[in-house]
Amino acid sequence: MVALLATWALVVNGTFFAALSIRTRSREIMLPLILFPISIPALLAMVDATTSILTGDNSPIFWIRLLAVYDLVFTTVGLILFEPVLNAE
Amino acid sequence: MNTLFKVLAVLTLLLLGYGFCQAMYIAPTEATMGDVQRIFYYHLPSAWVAFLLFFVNFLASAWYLIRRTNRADALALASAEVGVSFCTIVLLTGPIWARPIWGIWWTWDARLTSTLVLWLIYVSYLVLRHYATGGQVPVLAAALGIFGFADVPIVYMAIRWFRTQHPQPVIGGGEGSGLHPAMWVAVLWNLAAFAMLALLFVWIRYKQALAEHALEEAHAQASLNYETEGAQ
Repeated sequence: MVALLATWALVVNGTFFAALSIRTRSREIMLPLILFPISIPALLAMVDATTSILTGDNSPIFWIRLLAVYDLVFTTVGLILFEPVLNAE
Repeated sequence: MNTLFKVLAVLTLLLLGYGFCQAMYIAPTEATMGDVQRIFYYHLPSAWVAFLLFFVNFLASAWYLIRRTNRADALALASAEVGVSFCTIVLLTGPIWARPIWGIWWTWDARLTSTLVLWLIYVSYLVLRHYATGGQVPVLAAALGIFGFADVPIVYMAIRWFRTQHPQPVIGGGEGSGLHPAMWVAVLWNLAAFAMLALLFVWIRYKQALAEHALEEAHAQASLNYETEGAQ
């Protein structure tokens, strides 16, 4: 479950920002520079969820929920913004 | 615009002065922390103003994507720049307070880290504006602005969700939180002063961005005219 949601978050963000940064100069630098700060909440949630599942100390429900909301929000925003970004002249 | 701007500038200066008096002399000294706590009167207003400016940036970005006007783009640029500077104030005043109270300058605590992330996002926004080429800049920047704003609620809620070292929300928090009424006065005056200051900065930067755009267009038009004349 965590792996699925986490992969989804990374894929959505990665695809969107790859499409975005391809239009910029020095895109090799721009992509990580933009992608990393945006993905940090997702990374944090997946690390904490995995930790609490493996150690069994806390319930991972909160983190899974955060990850799900993050996926939902970023997928929606990504779908809406994908076209204008690709067609930016 | 000029007279209104000058009046606003004088008013902001007065407010800043009065807010300073309130924060330094009138507000009571905090019982356990002492005078160090007074930096809070600058820390909290800048944080709120920074959040507000990022929200303005989000609205302007959305407006730009729908209407594609230069005004929206200029507003987005202005609010992002001023927002980053206020966020920097937050990140600077925090450690100054934390050093005597916690004994450390910085810790990788959820609230601190998420504010730093927010700052990074908007810095990358400004970098993107610098590195993208030609007419795509506003579109790409607007997209990033909307994406970036999706992170703001996470930062805001971090203080409630995580067990952080950052003090619990003093305002609108749970039981036992709350400020002395005299402290409230100082907070509100400083908040008003900082909001006015931000408004002034955004306004002046917005005008400048619009002028810059007009200048670029005039240049393009002029070189176009020159070329057609040269061809004839």
